[in-house]
Amino acid sequence: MSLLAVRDLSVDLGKRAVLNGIDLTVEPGECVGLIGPNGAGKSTFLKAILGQAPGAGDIRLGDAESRSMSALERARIAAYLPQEREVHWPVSVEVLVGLGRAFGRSAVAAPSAKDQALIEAAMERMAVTALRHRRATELSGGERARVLIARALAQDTPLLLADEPTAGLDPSHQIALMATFSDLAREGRSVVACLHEISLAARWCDRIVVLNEGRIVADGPPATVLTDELMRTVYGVEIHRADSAQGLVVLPTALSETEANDRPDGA
Amino acid sequence: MSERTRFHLLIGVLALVVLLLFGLSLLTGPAATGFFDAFAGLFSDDRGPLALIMQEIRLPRAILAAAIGATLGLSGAALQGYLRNPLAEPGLLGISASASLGAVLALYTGFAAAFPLGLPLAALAGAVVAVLIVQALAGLSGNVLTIILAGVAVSSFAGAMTSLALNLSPNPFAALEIVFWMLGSLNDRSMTHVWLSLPVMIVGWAMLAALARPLDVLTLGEQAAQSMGVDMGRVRFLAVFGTAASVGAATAVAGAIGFVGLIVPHVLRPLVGARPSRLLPASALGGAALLLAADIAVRIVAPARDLKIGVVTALIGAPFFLWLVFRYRRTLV
Repeated sequence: MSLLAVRDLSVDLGKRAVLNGIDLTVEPGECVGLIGPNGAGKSTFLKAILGQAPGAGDIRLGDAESRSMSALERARIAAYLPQEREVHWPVSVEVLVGLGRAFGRSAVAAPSAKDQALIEAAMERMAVTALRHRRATELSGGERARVLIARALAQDTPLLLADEPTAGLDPSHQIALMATFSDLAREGRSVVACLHEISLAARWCDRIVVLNEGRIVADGPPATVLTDELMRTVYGVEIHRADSAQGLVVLPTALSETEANDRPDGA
Repeated sequence: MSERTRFHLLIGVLALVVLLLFGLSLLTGPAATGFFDAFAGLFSDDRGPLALIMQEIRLPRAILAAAIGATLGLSGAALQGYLRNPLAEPGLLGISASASLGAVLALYTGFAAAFPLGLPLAALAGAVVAVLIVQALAGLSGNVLTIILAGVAVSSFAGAMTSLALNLSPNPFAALEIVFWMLGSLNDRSMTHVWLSLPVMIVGWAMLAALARPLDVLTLGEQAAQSMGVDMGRVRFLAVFGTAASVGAATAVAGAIGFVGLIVPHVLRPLVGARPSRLLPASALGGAALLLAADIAVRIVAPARDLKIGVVTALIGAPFFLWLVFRYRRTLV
């Protein structure tokens, strides 16, 4: 049974069709990199999976239709890391990560031994244990990102949906995070991460899904998906591509000649 | 000492302070009473003057001060957590302004004089109308900004109507009565006022208390909270109607009392590790303590002048708020 099955999903926000006829199935143990240019519909896609964006089509999470599930039932299957890294009150890091275990428990109850163990493991994994007594609002951007990822990991769900989790992290923490995702996949969980760092996606994901203008234009292993041709048509960039001992290396190097002229902002 | 023990200790200390101030409130008043006589009077069945003073004047006053203070503290903490804005306060949703308008209309039309409970009932009706308008304006989406804007719109309109009533008031005495009522007071309230407002306040407290866990999770923002099983529609319903019930009932019997709902959560937030769920009980107790203290102060400082409690809370609150702003500015880099 697949963990996530999306069939013919379309989302309109206002009059604009943001997603159009999306089909995607994610099996347990997959680490999926969702890539595509800005405005391709990646974030909307993750929100639609969680029932946070209005849309037509069929979304199954585990063995039930996502929209017929309660928010709590969804929370037991999918953890979500939003793109905006909001922390509104100066609570301690430990408390913030502990919120990942908050659902379905009364506010006065102390966390159970199992909850506490999951919280510790999540902090350990994201290397934030040393920050546990710091106020979450006073952390650096990268530290805050790691703490929020630890919060999502503490939710201990079979599926993790992460929206640009590597943004703002230094190279060592980027690699550590991608290695964590890869480990999660090996444990039989699934990760769907929106990424802009093509090199990280190429190196660490088992599967790349490319969204462009609301449609999936490619889906498969990095080596077959990330071709010169695709990068040119989707992003308008030239890439340097090589095979190394550590895996595939894909590095955007320059704007494509023709595409660059087509782009209105010249980017 | 663990974080949890510290929290329990804080709640214990606050509860003790409320209890002491409640006792002190019972002992404060123009009629001089001995400590033991006063408490004997509270429980005696004879209809002597001391028993009447204790049971009919001081007890309802102390109960209302504690309950209204708790309402303001609790709803302030809940709204700050829900709107994720440290400047939110119970008046923000337009509830107090509309309840005041209801009361002013009752005074203006003579409905208040015609019937003993006319004024509080009219004020409650004002609160109900306000909450229905805010809810209708905010629509189904429940966007936080829409709610704030709806509250500001309702507040402004109620304020304008109150001004109109003052402007057109038939004589200076009616205008004075309206102004005095709006300053907020606990003078001359009876057990009838307690029976009218307390049950409604308790319903409101129960709704706001149910927000504890969702408010914690909302620290991470709405999107993350929703993904963690928080039903935002339910949260909004509880926040808006819980505030309307408790603050509406409080305003109906005591007028609009400012600053308690803004200041108390601010002061206590650092002491509970900024956790919104823990701030709720702490803030309720803190609000009760502050209002009991203010109500004792108005009776001791100027017993003959009928100093209004709303004036005192504003006098304490505004400078304190300036100090908070000053301190906040220093923490910014």
